[in-house]
Order: sequence, then C-alpha cells, then structure tokens
Amino acid sequence: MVKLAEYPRTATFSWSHDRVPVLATGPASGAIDADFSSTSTLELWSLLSFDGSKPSGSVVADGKFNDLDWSGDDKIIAGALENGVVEFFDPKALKSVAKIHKHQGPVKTLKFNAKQNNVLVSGGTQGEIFVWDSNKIGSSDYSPFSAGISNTPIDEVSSLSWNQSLAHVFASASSSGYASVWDLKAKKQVLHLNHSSSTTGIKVPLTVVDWHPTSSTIIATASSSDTEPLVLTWDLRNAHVPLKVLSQGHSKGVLSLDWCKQDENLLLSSGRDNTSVLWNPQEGSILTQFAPRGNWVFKSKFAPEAPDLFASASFDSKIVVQTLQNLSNTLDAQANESKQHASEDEFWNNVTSNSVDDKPNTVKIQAPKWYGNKSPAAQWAFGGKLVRISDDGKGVSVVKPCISGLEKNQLFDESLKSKDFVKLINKRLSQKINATNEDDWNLLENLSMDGTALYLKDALSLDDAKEDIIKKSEEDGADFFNQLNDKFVPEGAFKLDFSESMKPLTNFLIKGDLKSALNQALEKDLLLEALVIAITSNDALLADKAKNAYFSKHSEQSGLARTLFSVAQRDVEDIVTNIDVSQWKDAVQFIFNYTKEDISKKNSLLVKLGDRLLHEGNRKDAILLYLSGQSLESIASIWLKEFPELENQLTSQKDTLYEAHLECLTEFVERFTVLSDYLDKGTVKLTNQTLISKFLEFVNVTAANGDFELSLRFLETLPDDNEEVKSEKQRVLIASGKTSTTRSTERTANSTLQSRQGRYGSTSVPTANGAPRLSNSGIPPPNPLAAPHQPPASTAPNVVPRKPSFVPQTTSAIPTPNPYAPAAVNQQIPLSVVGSRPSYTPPVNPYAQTATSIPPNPYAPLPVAAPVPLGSPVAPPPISGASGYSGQTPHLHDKPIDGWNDLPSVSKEKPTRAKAVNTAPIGMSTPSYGTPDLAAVPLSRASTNSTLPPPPPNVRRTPKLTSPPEVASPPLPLKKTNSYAPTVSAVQSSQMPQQISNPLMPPASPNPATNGRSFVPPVNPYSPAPSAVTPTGIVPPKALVAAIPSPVPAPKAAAVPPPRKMNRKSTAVGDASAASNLLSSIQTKPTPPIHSPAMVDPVAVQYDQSAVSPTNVEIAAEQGAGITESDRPIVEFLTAELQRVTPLIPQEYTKQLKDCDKRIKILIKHLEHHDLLTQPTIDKLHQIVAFWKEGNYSEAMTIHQDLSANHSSEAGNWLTGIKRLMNIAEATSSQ
Amino acid sequence: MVTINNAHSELIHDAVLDYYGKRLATCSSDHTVKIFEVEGETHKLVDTLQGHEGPVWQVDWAHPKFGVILASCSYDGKVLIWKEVNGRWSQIAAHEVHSASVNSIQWAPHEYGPLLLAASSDGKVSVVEFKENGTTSPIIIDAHSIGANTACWAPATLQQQSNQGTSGSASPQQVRRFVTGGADNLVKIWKYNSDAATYLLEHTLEGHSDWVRDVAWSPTVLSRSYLASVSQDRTCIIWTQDSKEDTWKKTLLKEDKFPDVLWRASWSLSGNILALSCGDNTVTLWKENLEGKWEPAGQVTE
Repeated sequence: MVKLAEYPRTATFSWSHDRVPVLATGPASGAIDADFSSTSTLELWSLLSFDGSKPSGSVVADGKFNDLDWSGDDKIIAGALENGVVEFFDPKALKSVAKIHKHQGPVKTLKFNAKQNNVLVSGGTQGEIFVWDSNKIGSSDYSPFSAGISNTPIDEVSSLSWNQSLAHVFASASSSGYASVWDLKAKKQVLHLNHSSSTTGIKVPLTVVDWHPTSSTIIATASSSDTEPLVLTWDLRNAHVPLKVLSQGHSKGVLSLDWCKQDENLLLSSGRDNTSVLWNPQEGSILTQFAPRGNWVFKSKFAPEAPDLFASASFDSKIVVQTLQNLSNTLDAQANESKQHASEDEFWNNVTSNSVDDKPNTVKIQAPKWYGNKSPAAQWAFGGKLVRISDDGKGVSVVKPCISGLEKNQLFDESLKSKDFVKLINKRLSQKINATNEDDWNLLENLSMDGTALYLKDALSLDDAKEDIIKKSEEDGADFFNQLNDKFVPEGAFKLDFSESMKPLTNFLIKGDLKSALNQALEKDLLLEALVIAITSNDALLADKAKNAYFSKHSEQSGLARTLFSVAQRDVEDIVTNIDVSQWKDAVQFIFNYTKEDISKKNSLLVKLGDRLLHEGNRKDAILLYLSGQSLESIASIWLKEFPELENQLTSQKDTLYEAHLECLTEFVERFTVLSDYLDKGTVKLTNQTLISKFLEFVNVTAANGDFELSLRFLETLPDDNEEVKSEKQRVLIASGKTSTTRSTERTANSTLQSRQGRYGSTSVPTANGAPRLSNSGIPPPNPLAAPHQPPASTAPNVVPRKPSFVPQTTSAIPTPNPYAPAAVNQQIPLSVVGSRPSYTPPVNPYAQTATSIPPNPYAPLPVAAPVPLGSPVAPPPISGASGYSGQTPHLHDKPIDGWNDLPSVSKEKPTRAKAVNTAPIGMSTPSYGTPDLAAVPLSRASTNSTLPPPPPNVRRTPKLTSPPEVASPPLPLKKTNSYAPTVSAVQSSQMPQQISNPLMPPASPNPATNGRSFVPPVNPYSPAPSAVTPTGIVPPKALVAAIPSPVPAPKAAAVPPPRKMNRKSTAVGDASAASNLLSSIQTKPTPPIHSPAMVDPVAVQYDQSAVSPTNVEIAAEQGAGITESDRPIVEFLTAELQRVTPLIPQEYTKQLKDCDKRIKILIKHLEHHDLLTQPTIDKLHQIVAFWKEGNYSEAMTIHQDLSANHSSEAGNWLTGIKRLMNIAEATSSQ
Repeated sequence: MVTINNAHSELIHDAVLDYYGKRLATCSSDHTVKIFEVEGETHKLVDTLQGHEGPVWQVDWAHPKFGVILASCSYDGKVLIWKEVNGRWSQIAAHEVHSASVNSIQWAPHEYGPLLLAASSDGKVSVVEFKENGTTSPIIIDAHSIGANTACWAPATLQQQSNQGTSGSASPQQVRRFVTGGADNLVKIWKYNSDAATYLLEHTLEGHSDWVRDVAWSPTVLSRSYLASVSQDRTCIIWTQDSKEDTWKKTLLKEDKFPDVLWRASWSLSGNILALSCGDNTVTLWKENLEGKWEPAGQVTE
C-alpha cells in the first residue's frame, strides 16, 4: 500500500490530529480547477471512506487558499486566503465561523501554536505578521495583534513555525531570504539566520522554516533556490553555522519542510524537483527518495498522529496520501515479470513510464520511533514460565510467577504418588457438583473403605444369594444322600399297558428300542416319560431331543422352563439379554454362577446387563455392573457423556468458564483415575479417544502451568501406544529437564509395564517383601486367578509370593504406596464371589484402632493365608459344614439396592441387612496391621507350628499383654474407642470376610480354643475391646475361656451356632446381638484343622495378633485421654447422640448408622491426635453441637456446609458422618 | 530463573521460548536474532542469525513437528524463516510480500500445517503456507488501511457443519480464524472461507481510541472465546463471544488507564492468566474472577 489515497485537487491541505486523520483541503490560489469554477470550497477527506473521489464534508470558503492549518485540538481550521481574509471553519459543524480581513494583501501562510490551541500566527505580504486568538474571533470588533518589529527586511512571509516547547517563540521565513526568530514576550524579532553557499559564496535564501520537535533551540530551514536546494539545521546557540547541511536530496528549490513531531530523526521535504525526500536530519542523511510527481510538490506533511502517513500536494492536481515505507517485494517483482512476459512490445513501449513504478528509493532503512516494542514484551511459555525483556531493553529473563490460578494440584499428585485416594475422595465429596457426581464419589469412597471386591459383593448382594444357595445345596445334599438309600423298590403285580394309545410305546420298550420309544412318547406328548427314557438311554442325542421338546413346549410360558433352558445350555446369555430388568440382580447371580471359569465371558455379560440397566435409566447399578465387569470404558463413556452437563453445572455456580472447565476436567480425571486404580491397575488399556483427549487436555493444562510432576505422573498412567500421548510425554519430559530428547524417546519406547515397575519400584515402601518381589508377583499375572487359587501355602516360600495379591485390599484403602493394589483387588473379585461367605464385615470396624496405631502397613501379609483357600475352586466339600456355622445373616435383595448410605429420610422398604458385627474375624487379621515389623510376620506365619508362639513382633508392646482385664473392660468408652483410621477399617473389612468367611475352608469341628477367644469381643463393638480378643491368643486358648469374663454365655455359643434368626434380627448395635454375631462369625472362622499344614497359618496369625493388640488397647486409652477438655463436649455429645438414635432407627438403616459411627470415630481420632483439625474447624464443631442440642438443625447444617465449603481440606470422612448423624437425629427427634 | 544480560547491543523487541520452554529466541533493533539454550539457571548462546536489514520486531517458533524452525519479521518488510539442522542454523526462506514493516508474525495452530500469519504497516495481513515442495502460496488481505500492527490465530476448533443439530452425519469442519489489530484503532476478526479461498472479515470491534498494539486470542477452547486487545490508549479490552452467539462483548479490563502504553498481551498456555506488558516496564498479570471482572493476579518483577 503505497498510496492510501489520491485526491484530484491542486490544493493546499492540513491534517487533523487524529489517529485516523482527516485531511482538509482548500483549492490553491492561482490554480484553476478542472471545471474552471471560481468558487472555493474547503473539503474534508476521510481516509477510511470507501469512495475516495468524494469528500466527506465541505464548506464554501471566502476565497482560494494559500495555506490551511488545523488547530491542535482539531476544533478549528484556519485558512489563509488569497483575498487577504483569514477564515475560520468549524470542521464538526462544517461551517465558516469567522472571516477576518486584516492583511493588506493575500495571506500567505498561517500556523496554530503547538502549545496553545487558540493561538494562531499568520503572515502575508509586506512583512505583515499577526497573532490571533481564535477564542475571540467571534466578537465583531476583534483584531489580531502584530507580532512586532522586524529588524531584517521582510517582504512576503513564506513560512511560519511555532517553537514546539516555547509557546511564545516562533520563526518566520520570507522571500527576502532571512529566517527570523520572534519572541512574543519581547514583541520583536530576536534572531535571524542566513546562509551563504560554501562554494559560490552567494547568499542562500531561507524560505522555509520548521522547528525541532522537542529541542527549543534547534530549527530546520530550507532554500527554495534551484541552485542551492539545501535543507539546513541550526542550533540557535550557535546561529552562525548550520548544524547540518542536508544536500543531494533535491535537485531544485525546496518548498516545504516537516520535521516529524513523533520522531526527531525524520524530516520530510519537497520541492520544485517534483519530489519528496525523507531525511534523517540528525545524521544529515537521506532515507528515502519518493517517486517524482508531474509538477512541483509544494507541500508535504506527516499526518501528525499517524506519522506512517504523509500527504503531498503538487501542482498537477494531485494530493497523494502514502506511507513512509513502500518497499519492493516479490509481488511487485512478479507483477513486473508478468508484464514482461505478457508483451515485450508493450514493455518496451512503456519502459520509461513504468520503469520506476511508484516505488520510492529506500536509501536506508530506519525504523521510526513509534515502531517496535518498548515494553517488557512478557510472553507466557510452556511450563508456567514467563519470558520478559529486562528494564534496560537489552537483556531477557525467564521467570516463573506464582499465581493463585496456577496452583499445583498437590492433592492429586500426592494421591497418585501414594495411591491413597482417600483425601482426594473426601475433598471431592465435600465439593460434589451434583447428586450424580456425589453418587460417583460415594461409590469411590465405598470402594476405598471396603475394597472393590467386598463392596461389589455387598452391593450386588452376592453374599446373600450365595448363602441361600449354599444352604440349599447343603440341605439337598443331605437329603440326597439320605435318599440314596431310599431306592424305589417295585412291589406288587402289574400289567403292560397295551391300550390303544400306549401300545406302540410299550412295544418299543419291550424291544429295547429306546429311540423309537422316545419318539413315540414325544408324539403322545408324554414329556415326562420321554425324559425318563432319554435319561435311561444314556444317549446324549436322545437327551437333547427330549429337552428340546420340553423347552419348545414350555419355555414360552414358563419362566422356570426358560431358566432351565439356560441352565441346560450352561449359558446365561439368554437370561442376561431377556430377563426382566427388575430382576437384574438375579441375572447377576446367574452370571457369577455359570461363568466362573470364563472371566471374559463373565465380564462381557456383566457389561451387557449393565447396558440394559443404563438403558432403563438405572445409571447407578449399571455402573456397579460395569465395575464388576471391569469395564472401565463403559463407565468412562457414561462419564464422558455427562461431562458437558457437569461443566454447565459448574459454570452456573458462578465459576468462570475457565475455572468451571478446568475444575470439571480435573474432577473427571481424578474420578477416573481413582476408579481405575480401585478397579484394575496396570492391565487397563485405554482406547477411547475422547477419553484420551480429555486426559491429554488435562496434562496439557497441568504441564502448561508448570506442574511437570503431576503431568508426568499422570502421563505414566496413559497408554504409550498413542501418538499424542507419546509426544506430550516427550514435551513434558524435555521441558522438565528430566530427559534429553533421545532419552525420552527411549523411555517412551519402554513398555508400560517396565516403566511402571521402575516408577513404582522406587516409590513403594521398603518392606520385608521388598518392592521388586512385589512387582513381580503383583503385576498382572498372566492368569490373574492363578495365584489366589493356589492352595493355602503350606510353606513359607509359597506364602510370600502370594502376599502381594492380597495387598490390594489393604492398599486400596490405606494410604500406602503399593501400586498394585488395584490389580490384586481385581483378582479378588471372582474369588470373593465364589467363595464368599455372607460374612460381610460391617463398616464399623472396632478393630480399626489397632491398625491405626500402626499406620498403613500395605503389605500385611497375614490375611493372605485365609483368602487363598477361599478362592480355591478345588475346595473340599466341607463347604456345607462351613455354612452351617455361619453366624452371618443371609439376606436377599429382591429390589435393587439403593445407595447403602442413603439417608433414612425416605422410608424405602429395604430388607434389613443385618450385617453381623463380624468383629471376631477382624480381630484375627488385626495383627497383621498392627505388626510394625513386616518381616516378622510372614516368618512367623510360615513357621507357625514349629517356631512360634509369639515373641510378639512388637516387643515394645508386650507388657500390655498381661493385662487382659483392661482389655475386657472397654465396653464403656465410645470416647476412648475412636482411634480409627477409616481407611484401615476399610481394609480390614475387605480382608476379613474372605479370610473368615471362607466357606470352602474346612472348619471341621468348632475349635474350642477359637470359640473361647471369641467370647471376649461381646463387648461393645465400638469399643476397643475387640482387640482385647487378641491377647488371649497368647495364652493357650483353653485357658482363655476361663480367663476372660464373658458377658455372653460363651461356651454355649461356641458349641452351638447361634440360630440364624437371631442374627437376622440383630441390629448389630446392641451389645448382645453384636456379641452373638461376633460369636457366630468367629465360629465360621476356619479353625485350622491340625492335619492341614495350610491351616496352621491362621493360627499363627492369631497369635501374632494377640501379641500386638493389647498394646493397641492401651494406646487407645491413652488416645482417649488425648482429647482436650474443651473438645470433650463434642465427643461426648456425638457419642451420646449416636447411642440415643441407635435404638430409634429402623433396622434397615443400621448400615447407615454404622457408617456414621465409623465416621464419627474418625473425627474423634483427629481430636485425640490433635491432627488435621484446626481451631476454627473445632470451633465450628462446637457451634454445630450447640445448635444441635437446641434442635436447631438448620443452623447446624448451615455451619456444616460452611465447613465443607471452607475447610474441605480438613473435612474428611467425618464431616459426612456428622451430616448423616444429624439427619438421623433430626429424623428421629421428630418421632 | 534465568537472566541473560546484554543479550543484544540494541533494544530487544521480542523474546520467545520454544515449544518445550528450552530454547529462547530474541530479536533486536540490532537487526539480529539470537538463539539461546536455557537450562535451569544457565543459558548458552547458540547462534546469532543475521539477515534482516532493519530492526527485528518479532520471532515465533514453529511446532516441532515441522522441525526446529523459527520465523522472524522486521521493519525491512521481510519475514525470514530459519531452520536448525544438526545444530546449525540457516535461513531457509524469505517471505517478502509486504511493502512495509512486518510488525507481527505467528504460526498457525499446528493442525493447519506450516501456516504463517503476518501483519504489516502496509495495511495488509498475509497468510503464507509453506508447502512440501518449498513453494509458498500467500493469501493477502487488506486488513487495516493505516497499517496492521498485530495478528493472532484463534485456537484450532471444529464446528459442526450441519444445522440439523442432532444428526451426526455432517463431519465437523475446521474453522480457521484470526484476529488483527491496526493503526486504525480497530480489532478485526477474520474467518477462512473455502469458496473464496481467502479470509473474510467476520467482525469489526470498535473500542480503542488509539492504535491497537497487540491482540491475543485465548488458547483455551471453551464455550466462550476470549480475546484481549491492548492499545496505545493505555487500555486493555477483553472481548468475549459465546459460542452460540454472533456478537462480541466488550469488557474493559479495568476502568482507569494504565500508566503507559500497553504493548503486549499474552495468555498463559492454559488460557486463564493474561500478562500485560506496559511501556513503564511493568508486567501485570490478570485473571477473571467469579463475577466476570478482571482482577490482578500478580506482578512480575525482573
């Protein structure tokens, strides 16, 4: 864009002081318009106007113009008219404001003051110079004053210029050749400049003046002499010699000068050689020579506020607006080239006119001052870095600003590192986005507390069903064997049936032609007979035929027949596909019972069933099924679908869009990560592209914010076979300086497994097991079931490798770095299902305490022994026996389970889930957790028989062993109890059931010793008592019975399994029932048969445990004391409230109550330990309690919400507990 | 973290870290471009690229999938493309379609291929595609009659072509947009039109009273697009457009003016923090609060 505009006028002009300037033009005196019009018009031209041929405004003027100027504030345009009038125009109103005839002759030039917008100087012939005040031109008697006396001859004033810094100083130049400086304060000419040619000595007429834009003493002059067309700059402090002589620019006289107001290094001149020249007046060098025009260029001016542009007026009826720069470029070259190619003749014909084109000659490239960044030019870069230019403009620094918006997601990072997601879950629960979201996190919380296997088992009520089935089979079994002896003995006389219809059949039978007999029977519709024949025939074909006949006849109407069909086919596909969705739980039973061997089949069926549920809108249960079907992808697709909705939800909660999105993304990623961790670690291959892109976005944002650790850690969980993932990983690796390019490539090339191992290996806590071993065994074994299915270890070596597979349960809940947990858990699923005993461990685990005192032992090897036999499909028959002893309350759910922790507010009918307070088994396993010395455990376990009984692993604690009384006493103290790690309890619960409840374990005969031990717990399940059980372990079992005063008729319980009914009714809270539960559950606990080496292990475990637990009790007591006096009311109140509501609550909600209890205990533990909770939180708790006591639940709830909103980091599981208890309390208080 | 003193003998106009944040390119009035390796607290000058005949205003790294490539633009009206091969830098292309200072350059989102956007004082904006065979095909549009100061790509987005909504039949179409700011005080949004094979003006945003010095399109793809424009008028305007609507909403970042000209706006890579560079040598950071107002998120000192 050379030329911005070209106006066909021979006119003088002036720019407005706008960024997008307007050009005012007035026809030049002496010029004749194309239309020979004698009228003169001031015209305004907008550069943005589409039609450059028409002015945007015009005003008729009094005469033709010699000069025009626009005041600095753009309010007024003054015209120097040839008729001696100075006319003032209002450019806005487009009208003439005043015409004042003061000059004797034509007004030759005029200029507004640079500082005072209302001051104008005008010059005419005969040396007339007037100074005007445009504010006063309105009054009729206004007259400008004369500038003063001149001491040099002035003829015709040709140029005027105001000093740019001194408002009272201006310069003039005249046809006489002198340039003069005037001081209005002195009212006279104070200085004059003249110059003689250095070569000829002839005086050079100075006819144009213009001041330096900033320096008050420097001025430029130019000569209109064709022989000496010079531009001179002067410093008035040495007015005899020019500062610089700018020559060689013009070949003829200079008519116009403009020293750029925005850059003193630019000066524009134009003249009679028809050209304009851009100079660097400071250096005295030519920058650009603009293309010559058709006639004198009598005026050229920068647009004052858009100095990239200048306008130049020439006498060939042109005013051209163009840019300072007009470089040649490839497009011009191409254009020229094409011209050339188009027609050589034409080219030669036009060679002269075309030669230069319009391109100016750029002599030197010099950027104007207004160009180029003059700031720190800060720019963000990857990794939360900011690059900026230093203050001196010559250096650069890279900084990493800390911003609230760029905080690292440490919680997630830590969780990923430690594989302990409890805190994360708590945070999310307290910040749930909506109900669905809360469901999801509740699910995850349950998984974290109970372990995946257990939770699923419970949620799908597999245990109940199992129980019944086992029970059934047991009875049937007995009957069956009884009846074996009851053989049918035909008696009495009979006749062959040769009746009309039966004759053929009888005949075939006589002949022994069973095939024909069968056909005949079917023909006669004698299905039963046909079946007998088929069975007798021992011929599979015949059997099939008979079956077919049966199914085709009955399966249409009879559900039973339909079911039988599936059973007969050993394929439950039909059931899964066609069963009424409301009976999905039964379908699940089918799946589990009929696809034991084929895991993938099982999973696909579960997913299929889940799909159906989802279709019916049962999202929650669908997710359960996907979970048990191990289909992360299915869950992911649900979640992905819900993503936009959640994001909207967040947005509507007044978050900024960005934060809503980021939050939603983070939440999603966290949720998925936690889930996949609990479900199936290491074996999951993600293929869902949408999912991956979500993850990548997360990584991107995280890394971009500079949190390389988190993004890398997270990237590790993504599949390496994805290109984008790979490149993102590489970027983060390089950016974080973790690796060079090559190294990162190698790294990414590594198999997922390897990298995992490496990473985890380093993070996993060193234990007796040793990380490496863990990884070996813990990493997805080719056959996930292989390990667990192995028969119980009879030797130490066997035991050790297997440990890892059980770790999961521990790890899943306990903050431990064991990365393999999930995988192992996963493996457990089938096991628990198959072998699962009804022994669901109540969420409230009285023994947690023990575990807590010894923080997370992820490796707790002990439980292993028990679970193993559980899973064993080869298990010996004793099953039935085992179930007989079950203290568990079997239950069946006909209806889908609502969230088990739903509040009781709605009295939905739910079969009571009398979860036996199955404490005893827990006690058994406790030792493992309590054992600080991991190494010792496996050892003792392995060698139990020989080496054993305890040197209790923990010597420190031994003293306490001797105080059983204390142990037994605990019933009272809910206060004391407390010290529960929620996580731990979850762990235990997950382990316990398998351990104890293994129906496959040969419990043989109830072992008195075991029973004896079991009496102890009867105490309050919440009290630390349970752990008391263990001490007995030290003492020879027999002694125990006597030693421990049992509130419950222990021996009896031991001998006779408590009637089932009793169990069912137990609310699990009452001491008595709890006790009985305990008893019964303990009974179910496999008592190691002496003949089986494998079974020995558990015993050892018990011993160990006993050694440990007493100490724990003591610790608990001490901890109880840890509560400060001021906090005690909270504890007491909550405890009391819990006890108060216990009898009031409907049985079906005991589960919730237990959950509350567990959570409250967590709180109490925090209070004891003085950890986590800050004083403000505790204060708020006091407030809640206060309101609660008053029955002001809504206020209490408000504070609760405040807590969850503002103290979410402290608000762990306990806060939910308080909320639930409050709800229960409120509900029950109104009764 | 790192400070490089006296990196150039004259004013530095731009300094940009590469994709990985490991290499730094600077450019200066001394007509050169310099490449530094930055590692932790240390830095090392790798090369000085000479080729421009005027001050070099901006540099930009291409996405690494195209190689180690840097573009620079100068007052000399040229855009030069530099490439590193085996540790050696050389100029591989010159892009000379402008007749005045090229004030700003930016590589397109890499999904579009090696596409370079340049804004020039000649009032034009060019989009040059560097083709496989080494040739280029520039698209040139008249953007700002008095000069284009800055241009910035919108993040790569897909748009459902169909109007039927739910029918997933229509494949999503890549929507290429960029924003320009000029000496005409305007901000303009341009969108590619495949029929016209050029970029057509979609919106003209009026709000500044002086030159628009920089425009920055937030890289985060949300249901709302964010643009920041900074100006000689010492203000910053945040322009937002909800995806379902056509109009852009104007929000002044803050009511009162900044102490000096705002020269640069830069969104953090995650798109939520805006860094503004002011002529008084300060860098201020901004983020949107819950009320949709912009509040300071910190200041960056040297």
